[in-house]
Amino acid sequence: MFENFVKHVTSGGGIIKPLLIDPKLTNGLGLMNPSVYIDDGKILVNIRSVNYTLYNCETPHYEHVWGPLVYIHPEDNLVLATKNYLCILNDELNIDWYKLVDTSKFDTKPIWDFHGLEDARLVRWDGKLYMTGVRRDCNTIGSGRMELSEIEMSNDYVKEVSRTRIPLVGEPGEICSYCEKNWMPIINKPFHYVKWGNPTEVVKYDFETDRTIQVSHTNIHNIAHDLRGGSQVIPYKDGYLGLHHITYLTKVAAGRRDGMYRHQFTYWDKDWNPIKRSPVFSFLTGKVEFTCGLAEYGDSFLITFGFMDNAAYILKTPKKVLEEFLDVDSK
Amino acid sequence: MSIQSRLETYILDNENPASNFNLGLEYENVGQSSSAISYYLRAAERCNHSSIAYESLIHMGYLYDGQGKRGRTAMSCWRKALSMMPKRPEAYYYISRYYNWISEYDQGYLFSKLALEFCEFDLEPLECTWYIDPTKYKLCLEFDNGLSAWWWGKVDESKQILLDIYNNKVDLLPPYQKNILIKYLKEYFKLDEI
Repeated sequence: MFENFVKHVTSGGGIIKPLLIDPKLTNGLGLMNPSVYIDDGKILVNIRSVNYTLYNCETPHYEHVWGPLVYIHPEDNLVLATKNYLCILNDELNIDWYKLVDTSKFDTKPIWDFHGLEDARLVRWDGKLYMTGVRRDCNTIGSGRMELSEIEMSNDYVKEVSRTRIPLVGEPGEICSYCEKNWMPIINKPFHYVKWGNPTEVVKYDFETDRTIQVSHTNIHNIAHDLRGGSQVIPYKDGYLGLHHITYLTKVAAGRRDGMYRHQFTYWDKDWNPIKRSPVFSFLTGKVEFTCGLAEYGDSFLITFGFMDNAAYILKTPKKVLEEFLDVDSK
Repeated sequence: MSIQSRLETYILDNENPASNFNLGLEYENVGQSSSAISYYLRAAERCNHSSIAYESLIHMGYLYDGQGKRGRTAMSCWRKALSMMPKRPEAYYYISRYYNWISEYDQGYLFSKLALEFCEFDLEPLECTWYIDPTKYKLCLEFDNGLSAWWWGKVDESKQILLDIYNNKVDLLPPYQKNILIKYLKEYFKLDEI
């Protein structure tokens, strides 16, 4: 396990910046899981703003009376609600402009406890800017499905102008999965996603037929953890690069749930065979860290991640540093 | 110091409790309370039973309370602080104040009374905690004790406490408490000469 990747990057010439939204708008609550995308040279970042503060301790001595991992939301409103802020960053990675994404045209009364579009990745496909993440408020059991929210930006507003719920792979009506989330949009292949990393499964959503089909499915590799979704997948050199999250779920002595997230880069060839995998790592040694963003930007990559569901960061990583990191295990 | 510089220091040694605490403080200073809480919790966990842990928990409770409708969690942070350093007054004060604020005056009375009985009020003030003037915890606990006594039926005791404050140290009270004290003496105790 490689801890404190950020230290490794910054000591190699990288830069980290906190991503902040005016607390008058957010009540100072959690900002998390940002997604970066380079749109015609502009650095766009979506920041997820939630109505809770995560309490997650590392040692039993500091457990909350309700357990080691607790979402602290208002005691009279037991929902986990998400809003999104779309931002433009300048070259120094400071936020120059941001707006709340107005989703009112398509919002209906939530009928489950997780409200809003979660962990939205930014991508432009066929000329349209999308946020693509999971929504779980559409039925009474909280089934999660990936959605595509088309976004329109102007100086004065950011608004959702279309919303599409992506069906599962398979025949219409087949229910074989409770929750689909964290699919990784492939930025140069419209409506294609990497669903997960081992085996690598690539799927494509077809607007015309409203069906999702499997495009590629490689062999499973003998590694000790699941490779779940994370960032976008970006073309790089002769293949593709993406950043997964890994979840280690545990229980403390009293039987209450706890967890830890770690990360791993995969570099695939054009046929989706994984060629390289980085060491498993943490960004800042936090237990709960999560990435939704990876972009190529000049001589660097921009990586966005959330820390403990309570803070958001962007990390500028020199290409050389990341390429060497990908090679660590093959040396 | 800015968040940026504190963040850079933190990255170099993010197991250091002071680096965690200082980053939490910067986030708190700009109103990002959730971010601050994460770093305060990390600071506390890395220096068990030291004053940084205690101070981190005081801040966490204050920030959770400030986010609204999270009193059970705020209370949990303050209780943990109290059990860590039961002779310090800060945790008692925030607990007592919170209970009085939500009209649980018996609890407000209990915690202020325990503090006045058991705390050592001449301890070194916490270094980075200025929610109230750190020299005024004893006086503010006396005030909360008098206020809660009124609402718990201890009318004579309440009058004695609040009059003692009024006669001897009213100008030392923070403005908020001073205004309430005068209101109580006039409206509830009918002391028109106040």
